Amino acid sequence: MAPLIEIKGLTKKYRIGREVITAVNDVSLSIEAGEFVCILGPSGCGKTTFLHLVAGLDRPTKGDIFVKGLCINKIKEKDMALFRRRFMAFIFQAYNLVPTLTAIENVSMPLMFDGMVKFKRDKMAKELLTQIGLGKRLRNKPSEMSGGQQQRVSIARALINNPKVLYADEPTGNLDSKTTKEIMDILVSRVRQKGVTLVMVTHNKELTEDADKVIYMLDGRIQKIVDQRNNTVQEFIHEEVEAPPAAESPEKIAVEAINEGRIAAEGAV
Amino acid sequence: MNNVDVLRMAYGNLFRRKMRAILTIVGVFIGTMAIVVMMSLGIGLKESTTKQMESWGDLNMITVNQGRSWDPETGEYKGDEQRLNDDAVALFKSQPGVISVMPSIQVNGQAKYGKKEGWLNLYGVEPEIFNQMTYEIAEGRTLRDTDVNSVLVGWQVINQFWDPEDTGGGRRMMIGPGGTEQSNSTEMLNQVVYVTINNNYNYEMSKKQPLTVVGVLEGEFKDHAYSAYAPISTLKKWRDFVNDKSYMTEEQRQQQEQWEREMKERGETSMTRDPKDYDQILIRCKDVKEARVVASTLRDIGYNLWTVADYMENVENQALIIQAVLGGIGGITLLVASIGIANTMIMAIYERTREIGVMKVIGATGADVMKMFLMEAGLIGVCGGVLGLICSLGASKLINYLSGDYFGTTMDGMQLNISVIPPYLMIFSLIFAFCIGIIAGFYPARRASKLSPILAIRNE
Repeated sequence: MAPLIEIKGLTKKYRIGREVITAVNDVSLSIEAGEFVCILGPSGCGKTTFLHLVAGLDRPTKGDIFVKGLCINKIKEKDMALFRRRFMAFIFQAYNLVPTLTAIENVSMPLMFDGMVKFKRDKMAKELLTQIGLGKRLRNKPSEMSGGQQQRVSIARALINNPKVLYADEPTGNLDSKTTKEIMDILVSRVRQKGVTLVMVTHNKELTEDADKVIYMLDGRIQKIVDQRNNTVQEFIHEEVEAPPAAESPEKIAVEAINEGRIAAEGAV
Repeated sequence: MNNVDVLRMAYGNLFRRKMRAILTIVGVFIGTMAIVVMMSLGIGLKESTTKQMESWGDLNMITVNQGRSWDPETGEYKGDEQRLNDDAVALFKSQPGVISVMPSIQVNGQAKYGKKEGWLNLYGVEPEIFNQMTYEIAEGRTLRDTDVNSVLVGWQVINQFWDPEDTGGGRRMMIGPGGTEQSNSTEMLNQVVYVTINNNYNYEMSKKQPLTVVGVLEGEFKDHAYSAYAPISTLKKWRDFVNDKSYMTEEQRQQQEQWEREMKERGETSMTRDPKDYDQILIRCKDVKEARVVASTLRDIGYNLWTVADYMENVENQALIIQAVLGGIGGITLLVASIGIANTMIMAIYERTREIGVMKVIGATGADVMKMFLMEAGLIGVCGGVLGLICSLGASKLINYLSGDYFGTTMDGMQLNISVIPPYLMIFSLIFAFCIGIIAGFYPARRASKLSPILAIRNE
């Protein structure tokens, strides 16, 4: 069976000031339908960027991403919206609920963009929220809920349109360990139950226990892939190491010093 | 995303920053009010001037008199001298936009009504055609085909009569509204007026003719207020008597012949008109515009004519200039308000950058985002527009109330308003306010729609 997602030679470079940073460096990977894949790595290893690229939120510098044989980095932004709406869902570390909307309204939002009428989508949202234990919080706004509750709303929002793939970026990063477990239980059970492919980024090794595959990333490259179903390990050896910068002129060092202040604030160009 | 949801989202977002939204709406409100009130003044001015002119005479009427037309700028004659005969009537009738044409002959004579003596400007008309001209009858009835020695009098005709035994001794003067000595012709109804006509060539020869007043014409200040209308058949007989040369004395005849000889020697031709021609032809057109066109065509041919419609053009142009100036002042206010809308929307987009990104990640298209922000901006416009319109209606009432003493009525008592807000101005102002919102919100909304979804996460 052909993999659901196939990634070939994916590379993403950022220009920050005068410096070019390679966040994702020539990554190739395939993800099967229904798999739970964890991307594990320290912060700054490029795993979030990788997730954004795979989810079609960002465009790669080089390489291709095929979802069901469709090269998503080459389709138009307008079609991308449809792809995101019907095919995938995203869970953020910071929940990213719309603060003015109630739990129901937040959850039903993807259906709203899809043009479903209000009473119908609200009914679906209500059912889903009740199933994940938020039956008493239906009319609350995000500011009236705890972090765990907000993340549950965000999970409901991700699941409401029955996505094929669910991307999660450190979904428990802002939560305490008890809530983390609750959220992970909900997430994993839902995903397994519905056969949804889950691609989750984390730096917490404990969260990878339930995963089918764990992908270890470092410096924008895959180090190894561990398949926990049959305990096979696939190691990647990267021969060429990027040469350290040559002796730099005082001028260049000065420019970099200026740029450093802007790195955090400005983000990618 | 369906439009109801766009509206719902936009409305929900509008009052997230209540104070800011209210202040922006106040800006639009003031702008709309300025533009509506200013334009209402311009419209009021035009309407009141038009009404005043209509009280002088119907705007769609053209009066063609004997004589020639000339260019008021160069003082030169226009076209050729024209006769007012049946050919002219046929020509006038053939003009586009002409409803009816009424030729008339004029006989003036001293008249006696009861004890009073006076003067009558008599026009002889075909009753049937006269009735096509849609004069309004204030009292009594209009002329009939069978009428002989009947007369319709204008509203002011009575004021041309005076009682010679009256101690005041003087003739009644017509004084404007509020004047003391004013009466109207209704008292003449069903009374007999005796008109004395004299022969043109021998003043000693005169006839006294009785006319029964069958009706009084409406229109206190119109140009027919001092006229009387009798069947043309009756007046033709009178005119024949008036123009009868057989009454000339021998002396007069010799003098006449000498004049004609002298003119011939000087090489002049006498421009005596055919006594069988009409004295005046009235033309009623469909509307003011047609009247203006017909008037200008006939003037170029050479007819001597007069119409209130001529003055309308000047009035309209002036009103247009005043409207443009006033509207411009209001427009500037609304322009400033629209900058306020743009500012508010840009701020909103900065605040909601992440939210916009999240929506896009969830599946909103650029168009969805754009629609939401445009709608929000449009709502600011509409809210301000509605408030502005309501307050404009109040302000307009207040202006009219305060100015009522100075500007209140026309000469014949019609209510005049200095500020008029017609329905089309109401609708226009609301649509305009909405469009101002949309236009002001366009750039910010476009920016929002172009935001990359990745910014949502980056903004953390």
